[in-house]
Amino acid sequence: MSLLKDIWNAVSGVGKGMEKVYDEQFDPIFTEMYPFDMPKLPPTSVQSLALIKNEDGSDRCVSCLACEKVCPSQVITIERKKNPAGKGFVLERFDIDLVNCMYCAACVESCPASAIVTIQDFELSTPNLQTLKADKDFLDFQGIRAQQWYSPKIGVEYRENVTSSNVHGAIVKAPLIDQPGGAAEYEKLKAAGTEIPVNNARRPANAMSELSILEYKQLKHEPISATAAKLESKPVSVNIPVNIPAPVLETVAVLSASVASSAPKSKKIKRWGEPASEESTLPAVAPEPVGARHASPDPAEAPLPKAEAVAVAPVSSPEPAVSSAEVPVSSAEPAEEKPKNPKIKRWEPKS
Amino acid sequence: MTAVADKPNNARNTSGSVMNPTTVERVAGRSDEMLLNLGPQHPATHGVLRVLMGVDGERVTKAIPHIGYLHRNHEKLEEVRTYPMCIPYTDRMDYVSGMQNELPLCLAVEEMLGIEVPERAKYVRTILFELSRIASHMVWIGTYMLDLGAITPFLYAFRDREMILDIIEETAGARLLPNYFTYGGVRRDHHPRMMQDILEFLTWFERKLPEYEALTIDAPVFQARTVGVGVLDPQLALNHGVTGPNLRGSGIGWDLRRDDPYDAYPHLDFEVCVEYGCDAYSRSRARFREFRESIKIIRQAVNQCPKGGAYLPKLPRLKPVAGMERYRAVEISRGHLGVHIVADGSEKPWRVKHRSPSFCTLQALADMAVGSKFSDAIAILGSIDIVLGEIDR
Amino acid sequence: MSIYENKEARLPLERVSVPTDKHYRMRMKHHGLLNANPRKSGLLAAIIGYALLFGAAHGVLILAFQVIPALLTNGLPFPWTGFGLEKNSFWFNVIYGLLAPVLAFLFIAVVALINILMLRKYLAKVQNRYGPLHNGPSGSLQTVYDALKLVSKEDYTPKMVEETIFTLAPVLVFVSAFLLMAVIPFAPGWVFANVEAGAIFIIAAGTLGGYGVLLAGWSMNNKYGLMGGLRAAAQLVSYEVPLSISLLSVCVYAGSMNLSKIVEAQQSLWFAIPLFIPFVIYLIAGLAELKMTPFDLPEAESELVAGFNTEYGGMRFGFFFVAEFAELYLLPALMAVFFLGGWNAPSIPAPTGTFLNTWSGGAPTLELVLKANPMAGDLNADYIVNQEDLTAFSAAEVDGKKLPKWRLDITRDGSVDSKDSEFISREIATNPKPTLWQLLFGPGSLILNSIYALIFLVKGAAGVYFYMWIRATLPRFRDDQLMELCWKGLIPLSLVGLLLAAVSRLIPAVGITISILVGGTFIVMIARGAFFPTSSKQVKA
Repeated sequence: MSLLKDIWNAVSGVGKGMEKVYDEQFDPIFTEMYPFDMPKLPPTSVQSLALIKNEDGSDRCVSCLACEKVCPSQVITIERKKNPAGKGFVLERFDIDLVNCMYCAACVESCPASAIVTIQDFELSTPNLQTLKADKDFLDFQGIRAQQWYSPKIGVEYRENVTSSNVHGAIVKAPLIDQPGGAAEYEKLKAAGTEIPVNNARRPANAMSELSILEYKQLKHEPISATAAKLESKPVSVNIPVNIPAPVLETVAVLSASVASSAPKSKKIKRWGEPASEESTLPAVAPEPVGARHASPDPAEAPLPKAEAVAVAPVSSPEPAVSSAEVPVSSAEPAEEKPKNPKIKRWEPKS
Repeated sequence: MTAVADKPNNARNTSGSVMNPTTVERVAGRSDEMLLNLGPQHPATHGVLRVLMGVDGERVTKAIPHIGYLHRNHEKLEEVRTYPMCIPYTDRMDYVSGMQNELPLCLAVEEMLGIEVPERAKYVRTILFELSRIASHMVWIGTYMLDLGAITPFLYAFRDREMILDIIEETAGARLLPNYFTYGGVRRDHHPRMMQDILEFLTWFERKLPEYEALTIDAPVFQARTVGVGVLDPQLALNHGVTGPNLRGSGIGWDLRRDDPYDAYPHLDFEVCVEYGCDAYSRSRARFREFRESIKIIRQAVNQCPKGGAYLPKLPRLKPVAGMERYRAVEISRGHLGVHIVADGSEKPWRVKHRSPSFCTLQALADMAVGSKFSDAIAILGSIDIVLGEIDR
Repeated sequence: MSIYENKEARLPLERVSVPTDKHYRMRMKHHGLLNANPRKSGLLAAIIGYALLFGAAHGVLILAFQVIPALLTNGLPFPWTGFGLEKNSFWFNVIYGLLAPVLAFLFIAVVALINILMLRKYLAKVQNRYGPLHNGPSGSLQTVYDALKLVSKEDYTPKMVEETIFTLAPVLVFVSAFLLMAVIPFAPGWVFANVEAGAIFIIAAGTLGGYGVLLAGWSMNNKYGLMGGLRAAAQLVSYEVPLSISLLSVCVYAGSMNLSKIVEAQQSLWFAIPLFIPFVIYLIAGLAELKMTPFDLPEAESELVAGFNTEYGGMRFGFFFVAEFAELYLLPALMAVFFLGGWNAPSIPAPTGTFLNTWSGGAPTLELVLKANPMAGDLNADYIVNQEDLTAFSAAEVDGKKLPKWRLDITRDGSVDSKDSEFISREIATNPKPTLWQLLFGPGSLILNSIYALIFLVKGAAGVYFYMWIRATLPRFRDDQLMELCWKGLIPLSLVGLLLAAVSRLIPAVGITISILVGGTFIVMIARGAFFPTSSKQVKA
């Protein structure tokens, strides 16, 4: 009898494995088609570094050398000189050796001015390592390229409503949950019954502007403002002639998605445990009352919104300050002129 | 307990060779013995390990690991850096479960400075620690099945591990080398969706676990390849300093999470998975049972996780008193990962010593592999789940 | 001062070009891939692509067995008269003999390419991946590109190898697979060489591959290669034994070693049922002969890097590769021949044959269908029992009418005797001229034979799928377990199977009953021998 039992064990053991393998044929495919579907990285993902400028075009970096000191790999080199005009220092040189950088983001954490940020540009592979010894121009350029959102202090601020024709969206405070310590605050507010806006969308990382680093090479000797002006005036069709790249579409789609508003129609990559609807990830959270806060036209149907049509939100509003009355954006009417927030001056490139 | 003396090639002969890497002539004792360089570029060595193997036909007569191909001098690097700078370097040791490596350093420095870690931080650390353990064991089962010749479980394991890495990336900013734990807690509070994501993942993973088991430890061919293979005597394991699932697979229930608890483990209820077969199959079973225990631990920790901050807004100066030293070990996926820090009163540690589990486990390879078949040697090498980054440091 | 502090020591900034997404997109656009996400490539295109691939294999068969002989012999019943060579004449034999290996090679190459592609696609599907995707619709041209790459690579010989043997070994392996191809009957009469001792020929040809692998492993002067070669030799030689015995039991049961006759004998009942034990043994031993998981020890990549083909590259490796994947089809095809009824369509056991008989317009019994095709009776030695009779018969007139050429070969067993003459004259009397329906679907017609060949190909493909399924599931055995399974499990049982086959030949009912009973015992032995080594027991707490 034990013989029969052994048979049964062996045959059923192999059979069970074969059955599982057979079942797996009908599971969804998990491969991400990388160059065709850009991966959606969370906003905290550290892929590269960039320098951010103030809205008047000056360096935000105050040359305090904090990042140089804390860098474990010691890849940051800063040279500074006394500011001839006023107090403090001005940068003469800001180099990051991105080859030896270990992307620990210690510099970002240490920066008192939120000048150095992490970005999600992971497409830096190169046959020549010298190209990854980034200088200030390059880092500034990366900052401009990645302005759809950025995260000084990792996940505090975001760029709002950025499209390919409008890379200079307003800086808004990130939703509360994305801020350091925001979770505790969030719990507190929730306990108090306050309505909390939650942007539940997984933000895409890599909504690249059309300018590549290749073009940067040509622009290198121009002042950064001129580069920005080119970026501004660049028509979409020049660089990506036929189709608007999926990442850009998805950026717009995901940025525009909020809990209450309709989910983006662009086809999303099936992530692992991603539930059918995004609401189910945080069932306890009340849906954002102002569905129009992030709403922008459906990317699949309507043209990309123009720079003038972009809603801007207050810079310093950690609380859900933006109401639907302030930003009456309707997804059905993309061309509608929206009132600008007078508090915010959009950054204009110096001529 | 008597297997040491019974073995024809006992530990002393081979370990003598380990200490003194010899020429080919000295190792090759017999003319019909073929010396086989297994590595440093070989599919089964999981990195850059080189095992000098003597084979007599299919029979292994010598197995001498040569290590150091991945040596990056982490200990010395950490000694010339300040305490906060050390943390990213620990990630690089056991790169399969990078987050776990940060913990012993954090614990040691916290104890040296008397830093009180917030309760929430302890739980967050514990959750991510166990999540890393699941991810690490997944890599193990995938690569082990590759060693045994099955490719499909590898893909399944890495598919599901991606989900953990997604969670870790969203929380910490990087997938493998997250640099997330720090002195006094974690670097920043996690995304509130993290807990939800983790619970969803656990639901998914619990559904997939029977599939893994059907393809691996329940598969008759897997059992044929692992049962009775690579017997590691408990006494020998203790002598070598083997820890982790390898030790528990040899029948010794020693687990630092229970026996020297840290973070939130004292408050959690879990079982130490001990298997008594002492062979590759027992080690595999121990790891598979740890999957379920980790799920249990994470579920409890998520439920008990208190509110509050997960990090200290203001840290004391990271300057331990001169002469102060501390050893702290935690139970990472592969066993004890210890760190011994000696402070000299400056911002930089005077001496940092990492005690890595795989280094000790690898020493037992010769005792397990000599006398077995060549295929078994590969199965043994896979079953002890080594990571070369941690061995060489 | 560290290099980091010494700012002058830093390398100067020099930026050439950073390949970014733009570059990637430019490259993709250059290849026409930018706007075509292969994930979204059309289902129809994929179906057409794969259908064309399978059609190519089928087309080679039609070309080899129907079109070319018909052209040479003027065998087509159409007004156009091919080259008008006499069947079995000298020039016919020369020309066809030169063409046949080319066509066989074409078939093998196409089948191997399809197999490689299918394996990759199947494993990908099972493992939740896409698999080949970029070349051709849904990746259907991937293996063609791979083959072109292999061909275009440098023909490189390492320094320390035994050059002659190193060069010859892949050829030997390939020839082994190639020879198997020669005797497989794809449809009635569709066989390159209808050898009377076909089963023996298969055993002999299959063993040749073992030599190639062993010599390859030895000649390359590589330790992994040597171990792989030795393992392969041991494995192939061992598993040759149960494989051969299981084939022999089929021969005993069918009463012939001719593969065509074995297939004919399975019109009513597939041999897999009465010869269950040899069938299972063939299934397992065939897997071992293929060197596929769980028997892929000779090229176990985690142990022996690449085993016996470690040092090979380019088309030399390609020969191993093509031979391996051609065998991956040919062994299941032989399984179909020996156990699954060959070209016979699946049907309930019925003495009249398959549904195709009825369907083909009231044609005579299947035996006639087998014989009535341009190829039968010329290259097929067994049909030419009496050459003089045949010549005399073809010259004769039946009922005052000259026999149409396409009906010359309607004989019962290849020989022409009075019984056949009567039969044929009756045939012609009842149906003197073939109707269009019979031309298209009648016995020996291209379409009917194509359908038979398709049935055969599908049966082989089912076997391939089963092997791939096992490959996706199981890890590999150890070498001693492999030997244990063979010598302690398979060989004794295959002898039992041979005995039972002989008994079944005499008393069919008894044989079938015993077969089914012993089938269970067989599994027991396999289970005990292979899956549960007796040496170790799990110690419980």
